[in-house]
Amino acid sequence: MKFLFKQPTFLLGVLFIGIMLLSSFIHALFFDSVIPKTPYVYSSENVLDRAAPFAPLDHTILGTDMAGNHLLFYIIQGAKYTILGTFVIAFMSFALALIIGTPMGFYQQKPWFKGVEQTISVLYFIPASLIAYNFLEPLLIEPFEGFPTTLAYRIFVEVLVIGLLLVPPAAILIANEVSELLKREYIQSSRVLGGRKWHLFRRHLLPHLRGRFIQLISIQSIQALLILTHLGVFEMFFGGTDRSFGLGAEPPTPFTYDWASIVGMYYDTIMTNLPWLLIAPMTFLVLFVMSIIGISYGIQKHLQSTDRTQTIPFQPQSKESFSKEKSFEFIEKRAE
Amino acid sequence: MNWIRFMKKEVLYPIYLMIGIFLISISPLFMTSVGLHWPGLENITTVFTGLLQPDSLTYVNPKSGVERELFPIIFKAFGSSFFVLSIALVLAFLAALVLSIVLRMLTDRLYKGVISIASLFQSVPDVVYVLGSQIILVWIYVELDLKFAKFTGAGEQEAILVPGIVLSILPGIFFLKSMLSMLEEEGYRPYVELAKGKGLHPLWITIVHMLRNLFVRLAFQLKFIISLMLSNLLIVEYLFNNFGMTTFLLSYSQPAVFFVTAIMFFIPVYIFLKGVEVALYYATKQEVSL
Repeated sequence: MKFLFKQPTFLLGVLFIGIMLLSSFIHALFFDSVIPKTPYVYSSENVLDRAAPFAPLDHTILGTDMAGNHLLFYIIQGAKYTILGTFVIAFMSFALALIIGTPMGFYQQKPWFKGVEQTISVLYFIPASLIAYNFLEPLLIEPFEGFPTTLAYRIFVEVLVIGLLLVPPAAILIANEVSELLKREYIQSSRVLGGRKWHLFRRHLLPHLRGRFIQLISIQSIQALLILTHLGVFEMFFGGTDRSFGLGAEPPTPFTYDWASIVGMYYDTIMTNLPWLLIAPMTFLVLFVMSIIGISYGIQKHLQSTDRTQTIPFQPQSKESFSKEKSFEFIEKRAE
Repeated sequence: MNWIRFMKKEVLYPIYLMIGIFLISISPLFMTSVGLHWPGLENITTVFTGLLQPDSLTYVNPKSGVERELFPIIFKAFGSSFFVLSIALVLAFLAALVLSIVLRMLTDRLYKGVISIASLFQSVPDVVYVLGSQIILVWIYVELDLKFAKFTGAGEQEAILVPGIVLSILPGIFFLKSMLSMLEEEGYRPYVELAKGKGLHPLWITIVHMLRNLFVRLAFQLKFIISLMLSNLLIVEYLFNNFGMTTFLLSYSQPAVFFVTAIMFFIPVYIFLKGVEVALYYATKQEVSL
């Protein structure tokens, strides 16, 4: 574990995610998630200098929106929902895929498996974010009467639904991987010696699959984030969309301000040349994806360096050891 | 005997897929604003009987509340979607092909660098590319007062070129990455060594001898590429405000409309994949299932 932190990509990824989570929770616990607001700046007493929106580094670090809300604090507030939501979805779908996919791998030769695989492959033709949007719309878009459900309940259902949508492809992937490994010779001999399925899985499959699992978890996280981003752009925000009705209604706002919903919330400003409102949350989304890739790459490198399943490569004798012995001598001399 | 099994497979597979699409299209019935609920068999059978008379299907525009007939107008959306999709596919393929041949002419060390950069860019969410292109176009318009490409519009004024280009980015990166790694693998094959030994020009070897094998291997990934593009198309059409198939899938979606649109999407894609499968069979004498 100590050596894991020597992988620079792993360290950078963990640092980014850790700092974002920490600041987000500090902001929530000690500052009550208050978003600072500066609609106007006065140059001297009672002389108005400028009004919001401010560009980045003009008055605040990441700039403000039209109403003067500081963008940085929205991003800090939304970090915990984005990061934890993504990881909970990823780990849940991975765990389910493991539970379902491994037995499927053992029975892949059976004829019914093809049917299951083909029904599931409908997910290739219909994007998961579309299914999630249509399914979750009644729950997450505020009806005229207001939400009858709590925020925690909506987040729970949304995470569950997106997680379940990500299970089938991952389960098929694990099943294929397992069944490919089961064809190896050493597993056949372990079977002949009487190894049960659990033994095969624990002793022979798991060590080989560790690296693939890390890769799969990172793929699931990226997929989950992608779906959340799509939903955010479709103005279905994480944990529900707060709509207002009637004349002069405000545009929909999120409850959680996760990064995808900040993008969706500010999309209407694209024509007004305030590019930082979209670039800032998108940058954080991209940085989050990069950290996931960095962490997964670092762990995989670490696993490779400590891998016990790899046989030690044959090392030819070095040149010096050859030259020490005399490679050529006369027989007469030896006789002496 | 063999072809009976073959027919059974070929007939069963689309039916499985249709069942899957039907299940997805009725799934919103199971959700209300308070949570999951059982809609009752009646609602599901209404959807099913509605599908049996496709002429009478209507959709409701949620903004204006106007109800219109689905059928002639959906073909317009269909045309728009597939036009953008085919522009993007051709563009991605050609760009990746040219780039990979050019990169192959350069040093071998560049290969690994390009592949790792490509895999980084591949994981960037597609929303970032779409919004990035729009921000750049707006910026150019505001700063330089130039308007050389439409990026939003409605009806006859629909933007086609920019959505096509943006849609081609991610598949293009995917093509480039797989072409580069395949070309590198292919480079160690005996036939390439022989051609090199005969003194043929490397460009000639790549274009005439290696590309043929490359296409066969690329075709195996076609299903994945198409699924990637369909998911991208959703976001591209939404953000560029195109009147395409995703309008019906996303904004005007009632179970029956969703089913019809999804089937109309799925049939051409399926026929295309089957065509490639048959072409591969005649080209390589290998039975593949995509």
